[in-house]
This record gives sequence, C-alpha cells and structure tokens, in this order.
Amino acid sequence: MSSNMIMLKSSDGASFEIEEAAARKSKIIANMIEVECVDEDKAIPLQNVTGNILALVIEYCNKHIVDDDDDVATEEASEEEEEAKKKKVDDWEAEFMNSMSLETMFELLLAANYLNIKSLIDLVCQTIANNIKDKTPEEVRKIFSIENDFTPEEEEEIRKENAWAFG
Amino acid sequence: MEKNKKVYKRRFKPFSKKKKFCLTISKRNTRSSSSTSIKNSEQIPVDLIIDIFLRLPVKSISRFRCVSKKWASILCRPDFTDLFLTKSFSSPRLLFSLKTKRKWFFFSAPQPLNPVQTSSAIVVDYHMSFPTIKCSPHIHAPVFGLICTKNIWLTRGCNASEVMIYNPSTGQTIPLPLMRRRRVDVRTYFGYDPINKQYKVLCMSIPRRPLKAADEYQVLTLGTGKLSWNMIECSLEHFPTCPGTCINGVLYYLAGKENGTWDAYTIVCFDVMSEKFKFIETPKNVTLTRRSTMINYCSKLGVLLDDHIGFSSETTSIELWVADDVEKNKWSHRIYVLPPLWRNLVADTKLHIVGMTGNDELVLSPRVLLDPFYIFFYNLEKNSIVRVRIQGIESTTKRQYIRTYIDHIQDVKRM
Repeated sequence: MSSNMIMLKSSDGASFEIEEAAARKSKIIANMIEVECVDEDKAIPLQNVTGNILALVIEYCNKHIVDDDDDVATEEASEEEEEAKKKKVDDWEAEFMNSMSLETMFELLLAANYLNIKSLIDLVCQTIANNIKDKTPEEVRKIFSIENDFTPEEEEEIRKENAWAFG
Repeated sequence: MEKNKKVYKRRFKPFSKKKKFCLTISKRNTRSSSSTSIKNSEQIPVDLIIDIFLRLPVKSISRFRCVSKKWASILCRPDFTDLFLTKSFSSPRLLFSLKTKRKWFFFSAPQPLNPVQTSSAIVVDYHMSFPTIKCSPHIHAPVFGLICTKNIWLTRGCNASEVMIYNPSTGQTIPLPLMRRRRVDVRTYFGYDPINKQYKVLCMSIPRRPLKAADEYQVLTLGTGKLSWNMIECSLEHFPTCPGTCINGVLYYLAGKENGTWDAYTIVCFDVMSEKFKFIETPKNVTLTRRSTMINYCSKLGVLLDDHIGFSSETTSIELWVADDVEKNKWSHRIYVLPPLWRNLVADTKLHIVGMTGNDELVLSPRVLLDPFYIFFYNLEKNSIVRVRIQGIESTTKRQYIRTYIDHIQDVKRM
C-alpha cells in the first residue's frame, strides 16, 4: 500500500512527515487537502501546536489509520474478533494516555480541538474526566490553578446545597 | 531557529521498524513531566471544559459546583444541563431504592445494553439518601429523573411537608406546599409533559366513610417559580388505586368505578399538558384487577392483568395487553411463552415486572433484596432470558424490600 506523504510543521519549527491517510484524521488538514491548499514540497504550518504535542497527535493518527484499514479488510469479522479488536484499541489508547501529565493532556486537547480530530477530543476529555472525577474542590482548584472566589458565606451556602456529593 | 528545523523524516512512518524505538524517545520528552497543575486553564475554551464536564458522574458535578463562581455558573447553565440530559437519554441507568426507618437509599448503575448470560455482575454505586417522610412513606417510580412521594396519610404531627420531590442527581429535595384537603387520605400521581417540559403533581382526596369517588382534584406545576396547587375539574367519578405510569405526557392509573363497592376497575388517563381526565375502554374480555400493572410498551400503554403474586419458575408465559390506539380503543393481546431456561434461572425467586427497555426486553426484579441479587432481562423478540447479578447493595435487615427502576435519566438542573 502506498500513500502520499505530507509534511506538518509545528509552532517551534519541527517538521514531521505523515501519511496523507493519517493526516486526514484531522478535519482541518483533510479540508486543506480537498481544496488543494497543500503544496507537496512545503510543510503545513501549525501555529498552535508545539513539536512534542504534534508528535503525540501523529502517533495517535497513525495508530488509528492502521485500525481503520483493518476494518475494511475484515468486514466479515466475527463478533468476538470485533470485540478483541476493540479491546486492542482501548488498551492502546489507555496506554497512550497513561502517565501523560494533565498539563500534556490539556495541550493535546487544545491541539486536537485546533486540528479538529473528534475521536481524539473524545478520548482526551474522557481521560481528563476520569482523572478528576473523584477530586475535592480544593484539589481541582490546585490542578486548574483556580482561585476560590467565593466569600466564606457563599461557599458555606453552596457546600450545603451540594453536601450529598461530599459523602 | 535553524537548529529547530530538524526533520523527523523516518520517525513517524507507520510501518517503519524503528517506530517503536523512536516513539519511546518522544514519550520520554513529553510524558515524564510530573506537573500536576495546568497553568493557563483560562486558555481552555469553555466548550472543551463543557465537553469534559459532560463525562463526569452527577456526584462530581454537584461537588465541582463548589470550585469557583465560574465553574458553578458553567455547571448551572441551561445549555450545559440540557446537554447533560440529552446525553443521559442515550445512556439510561438502573436505579434501586431501599427504604429503612429513617431514610431512602438510592443506588445506581449503567443499564446494560443487550446483556448476555456471560455478562459480568453489575456493581452499583451507592448514590445518596433522603430522609423519609412520616405521612408519605412511599415513592413513585422516577419520572424523567425526578422522584415524588406517593400518597399521604395525614396523622397528627405531620403537617409540615406532605409531598416531597427528590432529584437523586442533584441531591435536591423540594417540599411541596400544603394542599387544600378535608380528608386524611390523599393520592398523588406524578407526570411529565415533554412538550412544555413541565413536571406536574396531581393529587386528590379520598373519602373513606363511606367509600366514595375522589374529589378535590389539584395540580401543582414544578419549575414555575412559586409552587402552588390549582384546583381542577374532574367529572369522571373514580376511586384511584396505585400505581400509575407516565408515557409521552399522559399519566395512566387504575381506578375503581362506581358499582356499589368500587371494585370494577378501569384505566384513567390524565393528559399532563391539558389537565383533562378520560377513561380508557378495555376489551370486553379484559378484567382489570387492583393489582394490574401498567408499563411503557414501546411508547404505548401495556397492561399486565394480574401481577399480584409475581412471576415464579412455575410461570410458563407472560400475557400482555397493548393499547395500540387509545382513541379508537384498539388493543392487541400478546402472549409470550417463556423459554425452558426460565425455570432454571428463576429458581425460587419471585419476580415482578419493572418495565420494558428500548431493546424490547422486559425487566423483572424481586422486591426483596436477596443474596445474591439478580435482575432478569427477557427479550421478547429473541425469546431469550438473561439473568444479571447486581452487586454492591447490602441489606441491613433480614427482609429488606427493594425496588428496581429502569431507564432512569439524570437531570443535573437545580430547580
């Protein structure tokens, strides 16, 4: 299988070569390819994405383009095979997100949003949600560098309203 | 700048053998950071923050309303709560209620989609509790995420709150104001009008000596600012008996008709939007009893004639009457002959119908918390029966009653 390669350039000047099929995971890039904005010799500049984050995005896209190809090839796969394949992808995604710092996750989320890669936005949002769901308001403030702007009275009131959720 | 213009040409070729090695390096660069805080969280667009919030459990949403004014305002915004509700429709939950002397305990878990026999046990989360109300000790099945207490028996010392609305997804308790009534026995029903998105409580007084048709019909609409009861007219003499069910803005409940002893039953339908009553005619050969059960059968009214003793391993078929067209009085009779596996799976459990899922499964559950505790999914289309174990609910007394509800949705809007 041969495929066109295209070049992406991060905000800090790093260039990456990526298969067109993988790059099309990004709706923005796919659109650029559609309207033939992409010059084969020139890299597409991505002003809002740094090299280390773009590397993660590309890793994700490459992985998922391979999976999409698999889907076509094994259309008549049995339910168990489907299940096994889904598990494989889930495991890969878990491993991919695992040990990524929250800071990196948010940068990746912003990049996925900028590049419009829906499945990656979903994955990162779900991972962040899983990461913070059991935290206390104090821990959340710390994570997001949020200042507590409630007056003591307001805080007492809103805590009382939501007291059940602290049990 | 020149220095940065490195081209990682071979690194990301998907089939390159070096990929693995190179990726490890890139991982090290980006992932070893041990920072646990986001410095510029202000930069994150609100729609992405909302996208994250939509994936949180309801308990976290309540808790995170205490983080800051901005978070509280996002988590209370109608566009957020509406999106959350929409999302909840596509992932309905099982809800279990358990009553002790002082409290209602609620447990919940995602409702399994197409459960199979090999499915592992469902572990429920302890959700929350509400104090019980002395003069209104029972609850209706949740309607659109909210729970209303059922029936009132006024005795001395319970003049404060007679009817309560609970939202187990926000922890909110809404005591309803006192209603006008001359009698001690009051029946309440709870309905939802999906067009105007309004919840309404219908209540009526029951004269007991001598037994007569209910009167003093009153309706209270939630979410309209000041809560108040409005008297409404009902020209149909009837004696309501529980329970009721609300399907597409119509509340159905059983009622006795005047025949001297009020034991000839009919189905009353109350249109939640127009607040009008109507009797539904049932086919001649259908005899309703006080214990007939009504369910939502694919958005139509389904009636199980007698669910009094429940179902056991001896049961061989389930018989349902479905109101295909209420206006034209068109009913269909369906008999589902249970598969042989039923007998083995049910064993000595007594089951009651809980409802029907969007996947054509009748859900049956015991009303006593047994150990192990199973609920049953009977697929009408495939004629298959699946038993799913529910874990995480512990009994405190010897004979703990439990109620199972399906298709519970979570509304995080505060009223």
